[in-house]
Amino acid sequence: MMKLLKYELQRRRTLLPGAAIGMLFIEGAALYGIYRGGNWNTLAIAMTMLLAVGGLLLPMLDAVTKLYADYKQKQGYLLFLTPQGGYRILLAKTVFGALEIAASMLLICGCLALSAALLDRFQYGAATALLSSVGAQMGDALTTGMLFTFVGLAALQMIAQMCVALLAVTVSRAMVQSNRYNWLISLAMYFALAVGINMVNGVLLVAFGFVGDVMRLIRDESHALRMLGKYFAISAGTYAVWAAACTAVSGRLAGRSIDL
Amino acid sequence: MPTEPYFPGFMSVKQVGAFHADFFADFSTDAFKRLAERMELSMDMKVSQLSSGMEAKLKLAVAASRDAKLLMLDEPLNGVDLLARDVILSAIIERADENNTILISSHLIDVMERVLDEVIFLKRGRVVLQGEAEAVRARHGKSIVDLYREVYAS
Repeated sequence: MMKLLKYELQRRRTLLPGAAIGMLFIEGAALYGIYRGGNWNTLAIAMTMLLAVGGLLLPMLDAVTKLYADYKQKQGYLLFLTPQGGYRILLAKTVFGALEIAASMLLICGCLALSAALLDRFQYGAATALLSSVGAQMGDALTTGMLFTFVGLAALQMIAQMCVALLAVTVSRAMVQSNRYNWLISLAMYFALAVGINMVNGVLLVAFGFVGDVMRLIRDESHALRMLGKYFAISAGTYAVWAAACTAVSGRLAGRSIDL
Repeated sequence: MPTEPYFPGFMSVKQVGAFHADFFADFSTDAFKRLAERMELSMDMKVSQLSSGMEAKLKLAVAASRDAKLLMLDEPLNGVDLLARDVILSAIIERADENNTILISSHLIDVMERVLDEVIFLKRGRVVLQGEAEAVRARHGKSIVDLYREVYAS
């Protein structure tokens, strides 16, 4: 596994530093907007959104394009001729993608923290005031809990979405390669599974009493943290199982049904 | 060993060897270095900088550096100039011994004939001729090249 991860890292020896530098440039533009203040805050907001969206999408796009290149181009022989098997190869790609997403999230959070610090410095403590206001309403522990829950679930959901995308690409190459609309089938499959995972998650949350808990929360906020932990665990479990299942099916198809 | 070039352009010759050493327990890095040196492949050269002949030599160096009982070489001389062919053929001959089998798929019969122990002619998915090279020549009274023309011209 480590050797496969080493190879995946080697393939991205220019992409990863380039992406990190790009993100820092975008953050630089955001910081400039915060520094100038006033109408320039629009630049800061736009750059921050670009950073967040781009930073989360890039690892998924990278994972999908690399796998597609392995299936489509002759360089795929190098990987699939090794005595590794489809399961191990797809698992390595999933693990690497997950590490990329985690690193991207950390970078995004770091940039947001930097923006908040600059906002405080140049715009009369605006970030601190906002957080204090939220903390006063919900409590510091709950505010921190919600922050970690949001970031954690966003990362897990992106990882699950990436696994769905890898499965869709694998299916298009393994089962419908000769079909001229295989790209459309792959896209439709991706959207169906991506929506499906959220539907399953929603059903599970309701099954575990989410609606009732929310009603109780309105009357009594003291159980909010425990409820947050409970539903984080349920959602995290859903995404983890979904990701594992997609990776397993992709691995099986890659090992048995791909014609390079 | 596939016909097509399959090493990623970003890898150096050294990294190609390191990749195979990582994944194949029977790969000998020393043998690879010796073969690469003999084929005049610089370890620091990127695959993207190699000519088709150099890449063909690199493919063979990788394949021949494994301690395999069966080596399957698909068109090892495709796109290779005369001088490089001699180097590749001599490397194939040196690699062959009583403990392994080298299966070569090739249309360059005139070049390959001198190194073959046995020949198999496939036509439309069927074996149409098979046997030890010397015995086939003696039986038909022709060279393998002439037999090739006869079998595939019809």
